[in-house]
Amino acid sequence: MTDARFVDDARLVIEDVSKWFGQKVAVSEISCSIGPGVTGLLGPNGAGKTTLLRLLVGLLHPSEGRVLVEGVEPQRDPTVLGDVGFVSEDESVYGSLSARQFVRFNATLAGVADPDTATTRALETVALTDVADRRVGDFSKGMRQRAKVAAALVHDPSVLILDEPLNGADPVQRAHLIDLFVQLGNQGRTVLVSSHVLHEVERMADRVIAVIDGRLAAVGGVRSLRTLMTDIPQTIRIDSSDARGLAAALVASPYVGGVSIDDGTVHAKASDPAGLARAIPIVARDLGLSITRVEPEDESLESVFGYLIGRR
Amino acid sequence: MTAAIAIFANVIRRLLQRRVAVALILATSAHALVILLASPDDVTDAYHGFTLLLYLAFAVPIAALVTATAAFGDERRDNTLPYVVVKPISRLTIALSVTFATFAAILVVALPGLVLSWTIGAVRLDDPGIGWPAVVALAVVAAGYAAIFVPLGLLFERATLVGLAYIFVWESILAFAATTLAASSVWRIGLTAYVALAEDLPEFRDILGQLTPGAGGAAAKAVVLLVLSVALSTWALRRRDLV
Repeated sequence: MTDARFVDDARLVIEDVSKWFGQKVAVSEISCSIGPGVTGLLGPNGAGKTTLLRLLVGLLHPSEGRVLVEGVEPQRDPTVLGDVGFVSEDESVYGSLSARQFVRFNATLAGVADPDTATTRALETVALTDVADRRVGDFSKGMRQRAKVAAALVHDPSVLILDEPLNGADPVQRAHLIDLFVQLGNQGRTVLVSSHVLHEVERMADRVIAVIDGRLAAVGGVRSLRTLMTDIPQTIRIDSSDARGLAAALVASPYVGGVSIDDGTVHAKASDPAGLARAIPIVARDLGLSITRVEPEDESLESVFGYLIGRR
Repeated sequence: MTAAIAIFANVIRRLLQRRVAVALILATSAHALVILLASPDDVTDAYHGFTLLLYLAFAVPIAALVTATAAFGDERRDNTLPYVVVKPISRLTIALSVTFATFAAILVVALPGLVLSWTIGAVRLDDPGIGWPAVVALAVVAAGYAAIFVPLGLLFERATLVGLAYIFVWESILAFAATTLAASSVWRIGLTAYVALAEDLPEFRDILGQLTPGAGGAAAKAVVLLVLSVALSTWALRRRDLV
């Protein structure tokens, strides 16, 4: 049986990597590899995603283990970074430069033969052509993110490492960037995108690497991660026209481990969330109730990953 | 080479576009005002004294400190360093470009004050050549301070404080107290060039102690400092965490 952490056509390899800052362990004994297509690096804030990405581009040195980009350690041989585009998590840009100057600066440093043409193409790709001569410092957060993506793409890299690239982007910009990343992945590029938002990763990634507390929590397809999540016990809030009647009916249900009522809202601890979701409309119909709201109380990634860590 | 020029230009632009650059230009011009106000009998002493003790010993080091520690320090603080280091550029090229751009930026900040004082001194003393020793000494100290302060910005979060300690503790107190430490003082290295090129300045020769006046030797020491500085920055860029 193959190990889900590793892929055959690996462009990025992480071998037993740990990174600590003083007493704080940011990344602990992570091993995995990433190949062509879009891979999502998923985890709650503070999980170690940014540290892992910074290790991959040589901004940080592993305390133990090693990272390889195209078979080379970037700290030892930075020439390999000519094939890597990187978007950092921070909003940082050279604010006094125009978007065109900013992207062109990156093109020049990357050794692009025709930086002007490459800059124009990259700005077109992220739909910033109309504002290309405005100062990046005057941009909205979402526009700055797009300028950073253009800077990362300007030298046409085959590996893209993107740390929360959708931060600050409005829904339209998000959709555009997600389509762009999917397109880049379909072109055979290796795209590693970090996010703490599961549904965003679902929309673009074929494969997910989940990290929590600096450790690998899960690796695999988005569908398998979803399957894991459906097994997680959840508390469901249900607003209805008769909370007591609903609670009494649900407590007898095999899908519910316990029920409480708070301020007219039923809180049902689901032992089988999918079964409970099917049961609620049936109970409501049988009792003649109207249901106004059904939602999980805590579907945050922290709780999901906490569960995954507990299962390991 | 193109990347080196791009980094050089970017560092110059960043360092000189800051508001503090204007304040530093004004601070390094203050001695010119004192020379302008000196009594007619004291212009020669005022020119050399304030050029050496106010301009080269105080204003230029502070301007160099604020400018040079920002070369890498601001990039680290603003998280823009990845745009430079996550690129297929050797760390030596980055260190060289940043160091020499900083040297040039210090000269740009400090030269207006020097030109102003030279003009005032030349007019009041009818000596058009009076400013040359200061030009050479400025080049030497700008190179020396750039060499010391650029790596500080890469190595320390509080590089300005460390640099202030160097200026006010090492150069101003320890190098005065212990003659063996005098050779490690950038200001004194600049002073050896100034004293060698200016007309008789016995009171400043005394300050030099064991150091021998000479512009060539001072320039050579500045070059050695620059080489060591570039080597240190290259090492730090290769071996240390950069964010």
